[in-house]
Amino acid sequence: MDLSNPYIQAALQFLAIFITFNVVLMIVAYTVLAERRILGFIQGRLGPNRVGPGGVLQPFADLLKFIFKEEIVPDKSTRFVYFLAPLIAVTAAMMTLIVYPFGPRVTLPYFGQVELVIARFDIALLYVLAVTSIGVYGIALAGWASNSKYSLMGGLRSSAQMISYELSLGLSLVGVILMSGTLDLYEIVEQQSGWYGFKWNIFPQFIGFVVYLTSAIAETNRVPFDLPEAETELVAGFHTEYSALKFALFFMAEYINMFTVSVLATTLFLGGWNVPGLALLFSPGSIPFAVFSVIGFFVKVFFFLFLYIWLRGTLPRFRFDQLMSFGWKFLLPVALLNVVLTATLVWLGVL
Amino acid sequence: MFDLKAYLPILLMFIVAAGFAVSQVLISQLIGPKRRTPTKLMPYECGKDPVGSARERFSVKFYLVAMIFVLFDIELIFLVPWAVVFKRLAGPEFGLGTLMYVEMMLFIALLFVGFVYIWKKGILDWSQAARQEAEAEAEMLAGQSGERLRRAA
Amino acid sequence: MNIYFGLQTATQQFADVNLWLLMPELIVASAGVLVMLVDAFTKRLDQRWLTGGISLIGLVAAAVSCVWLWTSWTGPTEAFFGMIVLDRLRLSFTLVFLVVSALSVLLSMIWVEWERLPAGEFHALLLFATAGMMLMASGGDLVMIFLGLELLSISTYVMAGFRRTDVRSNEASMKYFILGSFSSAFLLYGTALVYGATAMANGTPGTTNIREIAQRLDTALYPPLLFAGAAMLLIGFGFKVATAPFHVWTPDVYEGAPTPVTAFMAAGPKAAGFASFMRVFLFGFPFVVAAGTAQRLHSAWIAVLVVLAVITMTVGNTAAILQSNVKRMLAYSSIAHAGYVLVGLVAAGAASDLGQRNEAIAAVVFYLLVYSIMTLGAFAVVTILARSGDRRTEIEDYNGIGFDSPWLAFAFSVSLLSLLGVPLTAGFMGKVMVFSAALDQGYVGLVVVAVLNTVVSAYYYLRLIVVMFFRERSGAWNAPLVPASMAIALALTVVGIFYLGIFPGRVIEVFQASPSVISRLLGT
Repeated sequence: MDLSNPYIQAALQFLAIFITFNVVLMIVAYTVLAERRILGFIQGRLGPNRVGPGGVLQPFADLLKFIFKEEIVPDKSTRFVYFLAPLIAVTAAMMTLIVYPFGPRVTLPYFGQVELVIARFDIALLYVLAVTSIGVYGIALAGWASNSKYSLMGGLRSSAQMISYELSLGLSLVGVILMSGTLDLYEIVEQQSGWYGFKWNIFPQFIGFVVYLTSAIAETNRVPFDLPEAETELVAGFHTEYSALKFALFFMAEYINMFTVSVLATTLFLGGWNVPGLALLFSPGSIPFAVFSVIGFFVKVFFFLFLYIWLRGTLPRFRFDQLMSFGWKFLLPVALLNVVLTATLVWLGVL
Repeated sequence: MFDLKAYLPILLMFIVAAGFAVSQVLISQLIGPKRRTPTKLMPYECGKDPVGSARERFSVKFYLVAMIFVLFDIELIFLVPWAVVFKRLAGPEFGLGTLMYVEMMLFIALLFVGFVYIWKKGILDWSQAARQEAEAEAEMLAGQSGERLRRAA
Repeated sequence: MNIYFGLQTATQQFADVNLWLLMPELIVASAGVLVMLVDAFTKRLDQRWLTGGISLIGLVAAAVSCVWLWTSWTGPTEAFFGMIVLDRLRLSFTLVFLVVSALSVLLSMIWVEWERLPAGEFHALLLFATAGMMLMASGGDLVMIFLGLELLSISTYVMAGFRRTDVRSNEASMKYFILGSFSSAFLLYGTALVYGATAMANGTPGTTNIREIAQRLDTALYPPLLFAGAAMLLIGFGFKVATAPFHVWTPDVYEGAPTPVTAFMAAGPKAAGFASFMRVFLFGFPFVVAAGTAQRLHSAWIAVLVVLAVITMTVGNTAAILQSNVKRMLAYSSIAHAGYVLVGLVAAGAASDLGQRNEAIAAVVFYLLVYSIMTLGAFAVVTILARSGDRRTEIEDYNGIGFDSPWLAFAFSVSLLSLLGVPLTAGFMGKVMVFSAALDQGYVGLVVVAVLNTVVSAYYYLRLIVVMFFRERSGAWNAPLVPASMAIALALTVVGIFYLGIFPGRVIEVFQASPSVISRLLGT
């Protein structure tokens, strides 16, 4: 087999993408389960524990249930857009999965040196920003196409919220870009290796990190920014009229976005696959080094996912005007300040 | 010229993701039961018959936010390429640090002026009550509010 | 003198930055930003003197820097890699814009108070529009000109719809916006085509720099594209300066927009349009002797402009006769004047001799200065008489006011006579200059048409004067109070009209002369 053959490369890439895709779906499924269990724990109850030992088969039961549910298309909806919206939401959420570097360079038998990333190109970060921002179309269109008042309100609120927080999200990343001088995620991660973890961007970019995390939570419409689906006032927000697997697609999109945010936070701020001190134990490039790096990467990602769930169990919801004020009047100026600060430090040669 | 081959995975990922999404929609079309009744197909309004259409006029605030977003997002997009090359061009090889720094700080200052303007004009205030609340709070922080509030009460 | 925060050679190599050359624009734009901030932080009612004052100070400062550039600048005349140029065309037009803007600030004061409008927003928009106009005159590159044009246009779209609760104002704004965007699209398309056409056989991409376009005309890879591009540009500028047959938006927009805004639009953007029109066509597609693409292009656009000038003058004047609304009438009059300016533009374009060309350019600038002053004067009176909401703008509303409000009627009459071109007024001198420039190039027929048109225009200009002084008034008339700012504006226009009409020599000399002559004149 000739590894430099473009067709074989494409086939390998396709295989990698397919595996990643399935792994991410599994992660999503078990994040949902973990969320329900952890929330149960926080609220002093049990959570799902009947399907399989400790409830581990619950996601599959849920999937079956979704499949066998009746699909209702409201007669006043705009049908084409109504069907298109969940497709956009979930496709946009999944499209970013290919660019994340999840492990270091490793020398494998037969393949030679391999970078543990599916696609590496020099505008990866911009690509992530661009593709995730398409997700707002799915939600806005879903809200509009359902032709129901709750949906419309939810869609509008969600669009306003997502575009507002997208600004501070983008601005908070400019600091990292300034420091690393590249948009290539793989290179950003490599620059953070060494110094036993003190080269992670979270230290010089702490403001950026906080702003990023806050606005990313708002971007994914999660507590405490879950106004678009505030069930006490809007029933279920933009997906009020969605049922069966189309509802599941929205649900999936939300959790994939959570995963994306966690991965991006890990990659940009927490050193990606870098595990402090790992180079003392194994030589870089060896297989155990790579394995532990990948494990380290996923530990960090799961930490952020846990954070999401934790927040959901603890925080109440914002009011809408508070939400907009917080985004525009606090996060945006702070993010701007961070850019100015970072630029000044880079200019002075400190960073 | 850049190598287009590096971008092939985007296409592959799109095929996988979109294929998955479409297949899910089709599956529920094919497998799910179909027992439709007029009541079931009505827009959901807490069990009551829907009143009027949902496609009515909504607050102009949403348009304002959308417009401001477009402006600020474009400004943000200007920042990104600058940020990418800043470190390199500021380095000894080019020595353009001061120029690039000053230019972009001017740009950010202008952006900030626009931001202050829309803030003061009340575009970011989502309800009159919230605005008054904010003003009262500002006054309180300024330490001169006590008397006024008492007088108002 | 290429100083930029003490930067060294590296900066010059990678970025041809020279802020001195951009000084007037920078001052006006900064004043706009400052006004915006003042507007945000002060109460609406008492802000108009403050923001108006800042605007005037900014405009005067810009004028001072402009004169300084003109008289004492010895450095390079291009900056930002040819994006900004410094020449007489730019500086003289810049001064015209500053005059227009300052007068607009003065005559909008009372209107802002009547209508309870946010003065700060208006003044900020006015200053941004002025900055746009100045960039249109100073841009040495089609892209720069387009940017200036957009800055100007977007500000004026908003200004045209400034009386938000009035349907007519909204309609004017909407029409102006749609047709304006349309014409901007033409301009942009023309730019793109010219860029494509000027690509060279050796693989060098095309250019949007006007000087380089002129050099590459004969070696252009795609001459037909060049012609198409020039035509698009011509249509785009034709829209902006309101030449027939691209004038149809003018009457509606001028009638519907608030009168002070109309005054500004009739004077400023038109002059700015002509500034870039001249820059692009005179310097981009100049007169050449050798037969070739450049020569054919030049003769083509001259021929088109001759036809356009004739149509514009005739349509403007004929339609103006039929109007019963003063603002609409003045709108058609402005179209007619665009025609007269086109005569000068043709003369400047056809001139084979550099001296004659400069004279013709000076004539056009002088005409536009004169035209701006008299139009602003006329619209100032209309503003006062129309009162809030633009209520009284029909010709009957002017019946018999001549002896009740003698000063207003006098100022209005002077402006109208000057628009007509009666000797001793500035309008006369302007017409003489432009027409003689055309005669120098042998366009006798064109000048005859122009003169005939002037005769026709006497009908509607004089009719207003007759109506004011010799018609009985049916209803009661209480003479409006003329506020100080308006009085200053009117006095300035009247004095300006007579000064430019009786002693035009000095201004013309300044517009024609080389910088050294001007320093002598100013005694520096």
